[in-house]
Amino acid sequence: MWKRILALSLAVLMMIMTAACAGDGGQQTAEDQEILVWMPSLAPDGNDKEVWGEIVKPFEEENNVKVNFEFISWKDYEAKYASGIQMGNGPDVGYLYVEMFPDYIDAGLVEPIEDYLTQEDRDDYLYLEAGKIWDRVYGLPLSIGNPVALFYNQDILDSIGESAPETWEDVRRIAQKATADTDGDGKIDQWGLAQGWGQSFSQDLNWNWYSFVFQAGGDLFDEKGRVIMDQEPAVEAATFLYDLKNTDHALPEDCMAQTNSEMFANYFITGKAAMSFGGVNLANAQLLEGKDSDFEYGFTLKLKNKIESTRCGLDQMVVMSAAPDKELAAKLIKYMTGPVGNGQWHQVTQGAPVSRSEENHAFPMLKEALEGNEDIVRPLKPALRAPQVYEYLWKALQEMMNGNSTPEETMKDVTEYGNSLPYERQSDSE
Amino acid sequence: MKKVCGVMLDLFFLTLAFIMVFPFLYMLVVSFQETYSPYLLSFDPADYSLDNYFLLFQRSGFFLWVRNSFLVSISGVLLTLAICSTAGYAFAKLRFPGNDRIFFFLFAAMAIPFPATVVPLWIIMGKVGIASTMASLILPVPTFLGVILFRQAFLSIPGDMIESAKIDGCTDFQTFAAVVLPLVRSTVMSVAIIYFARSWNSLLWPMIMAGGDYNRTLPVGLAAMQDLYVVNYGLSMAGAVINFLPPFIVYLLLQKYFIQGVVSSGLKA
Amino acid sequence: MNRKHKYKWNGYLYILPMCLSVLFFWYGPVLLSAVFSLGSYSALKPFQFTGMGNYTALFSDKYFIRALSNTFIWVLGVVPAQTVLAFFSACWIAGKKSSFLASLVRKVMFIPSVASVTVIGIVCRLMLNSPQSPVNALLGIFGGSASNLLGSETTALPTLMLIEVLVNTGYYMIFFLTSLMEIPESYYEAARMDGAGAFRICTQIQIPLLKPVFIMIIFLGLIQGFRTFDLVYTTTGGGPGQASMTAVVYLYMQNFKFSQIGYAMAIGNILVVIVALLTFLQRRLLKNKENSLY
Repeated sequence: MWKRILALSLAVLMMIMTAACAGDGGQQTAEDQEILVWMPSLAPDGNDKEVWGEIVKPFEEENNVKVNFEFISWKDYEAKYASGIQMGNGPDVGYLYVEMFPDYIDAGLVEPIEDYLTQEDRDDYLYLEAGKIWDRVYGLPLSIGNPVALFYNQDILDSIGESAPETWEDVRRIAQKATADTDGDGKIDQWGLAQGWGQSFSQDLNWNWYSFVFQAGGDLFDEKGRVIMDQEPAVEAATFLYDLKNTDHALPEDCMAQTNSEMFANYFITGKAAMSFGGVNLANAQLLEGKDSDFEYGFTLKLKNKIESTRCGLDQMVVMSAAPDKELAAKLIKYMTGPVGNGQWHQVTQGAPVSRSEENHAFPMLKEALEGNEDIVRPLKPALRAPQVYEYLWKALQEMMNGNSTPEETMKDVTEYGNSLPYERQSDSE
Repeated sequence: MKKVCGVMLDLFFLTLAFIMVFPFLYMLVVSFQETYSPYLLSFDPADYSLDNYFLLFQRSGFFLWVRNSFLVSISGVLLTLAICSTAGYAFAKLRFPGNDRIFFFLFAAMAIPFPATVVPLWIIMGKVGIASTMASLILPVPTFLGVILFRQAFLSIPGDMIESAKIDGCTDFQTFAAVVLPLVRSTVMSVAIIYFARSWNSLLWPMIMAGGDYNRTLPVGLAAMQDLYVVNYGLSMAGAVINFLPPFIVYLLLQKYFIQGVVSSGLKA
Repeated sequence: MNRKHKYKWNGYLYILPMCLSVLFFWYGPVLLSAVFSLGSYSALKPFQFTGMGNYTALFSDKYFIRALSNTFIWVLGVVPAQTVLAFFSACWIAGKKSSFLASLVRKVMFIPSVASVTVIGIVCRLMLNSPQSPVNALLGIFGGSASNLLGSETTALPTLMLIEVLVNTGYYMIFFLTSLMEIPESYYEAARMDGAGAFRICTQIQIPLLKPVFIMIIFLGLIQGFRTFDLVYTTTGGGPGQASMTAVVYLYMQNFKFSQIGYAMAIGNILVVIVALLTFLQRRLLKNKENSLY
């Protein structure tokens, strides 16, 4: 028996050696350059590698380069980037979302792409202004993500004699009226709002928070990056949310355990809630059109308090400073986000075009949502140490929704925390 | 009365076991469906299919990830067995100065929580130059737990066995390898199972060390596939099932040695 | 023959690989982290020395205090529960010898230990969080509801602790079992002849004989408890609010989400100190006569 184990170990040892040798940094032939792209997995079926592999073939041939994609899970995205950069094996082309940009810009890790844009490019791309970070165009957006909409159940609204909500007062009124016991068994089985606060990290701020502050005419940060959530707009937004749950009792009991998407699926899709906030994305569209939902639904992006405004995501592809050939990296980014690459990509993801000359492959709901609303949707403002503020904010909001603190206290606390962290920019980005 | 007590106890442990295995059944059931909500499940067999699994197999890195996971786990286990059994033997049976102190010193290292070491480790690995290689995944596998287990097992071997081996002219190593080691087969199997499962399931470190598909392990690859907003729960459960199978199979194969080894060690007074 | 005084220097050779491994992968990083903890370090920016600043900040950080106290609660709850449950499970299985039922339960109980804790967390979360989930239906029979277990501040942590106990019991049970099965049948016979019932057999034979195992399992449980991360992180991320935040989860968030690496390292070092102290205390208290762990 020991002889066998010895033999096995030797065999494995040999495998390790070959694997270790083969694994060191990958092949680099003299002729072929390589470009490394790190991005999250965005294709509906998870087959990003195959899809992008096809899309970049012409680019690879034309430029004699091999494009390597690494897809990274969202949960550990920042950790992977940080460690990659530290270890010196980070990507040449990165995919950053607005929360990440400030720290990376400040540390000199990304190059603004505006130097590589021609006038044609500037005319063609739709969201260059919106995507500017500190007044410079650093990256090019791949997709416009998840504009936040208010979905409503027309049937329920009809039954309580209401029409589509347009203001916060409408929302509260409808929520109150809709929360009822519809089958007379003494238990409430229909609620006004399906909104989830159970997400373990701050991602659900996307649907639960930002848009409301915008609609109240405010923002989370000012131009300098200072937290201004103790001002009226944010406090008003917090009060709005607080009341919906704790005063109007329009949210189901388990809203604190489930994520917003889960609440959307469990309560809104099943017809048990009158309204729900969510992103206009393929999954939600499929849920709404799917066999489990059998009510008339509507959605609006035009909810208004002081202004109409709603948050959307605008993640960008960017040239990392560590890239040996920045021009090539910029070229790749333009290829991927431009009408050629993105046209194909959006066919797979059914996303909306980000440049004028791109064919529109957006799925119907998204087309409808964006039409005429280009001025209402906006991404977040950048600020240093924003991720920390968001995580803290999220936990604080959870506490508030649980009734442990008032909206004013919560906003004050978050603002104090946010401003106790250094947020002044170290250097002017070169 | 005793009978009733007995039956109640039986029922209790049965229920306990069932509760423990229930999540896995759930995982299995969901993996056969395509569902965007984890609760809108159908129990209609017509909706069941292996589609999710096929989707996974088609992932371009999939088999590579599986190969890598096996490579890392098997090598890791062999390395662990080699290092921990020798160390455990030394601490149990060999006298050398500082035996106790060194043991305690190494033991204390177990208190260190892994996330605390991750950042310094990746810096060190980067500088040493073995980041993103297989070695960086395999070498950290052995931990002191294995030593504790082996030492425990060796301690219960009476000194006479070793004496008689010495009298027969064995060197220390021969005593170790040919005489003593076979006696602790159950420990060897336990350590193998535990460390195989551990290294197979580890997520954080392989994710950070993954330089590309060539050294990405299965859990990391599966995690990367999960989109933030669009989650086909069936797909992710299918991934979870596949990830679960190898350690489970290893366990099934080796677990009979757990008990058998003890029962048949034949050294009872 | 004075064999006793003859040292075996080759012992060092045997322990060398392990020593190197522990030094390189554990003590080395800890030392480095101690250095980092004395300043502010971000993956993206250079190091700035600030002395004990991180540590003083930690002591007034109410979230850290909460996380730390949660961790203590965790350990105090989980360790006894899993030890006791593991022990009794082992007793029961040992008592049944080779019955099919016992061997089935024994095999099944270990299964959670070979699975990835992350996956268990995800699945448990899915199972608990919905009004339509079967768990909820079951609890509904007893008049309870599962769907807000992980969302309510009062029940989030206990629920997680319960899950942890269920996962770990099978693992520790094996240790008890192997030792239990070494107890010769003759002991039991002698006890029965003296008229001892199951209870007396348990307390006067099994527990005393298994004392070393108890000690080891409590130890391992303690250490594992203080390091607990995966389960909490994947299910609630410490929430809602801070209700289920544990020390290592807090460390992780500081480290990766906030890039406050120096701060995180300080947390790590404090944890190490605490566990080392407990280890030391336990060693002192027990002053081992029987050989066992050390």
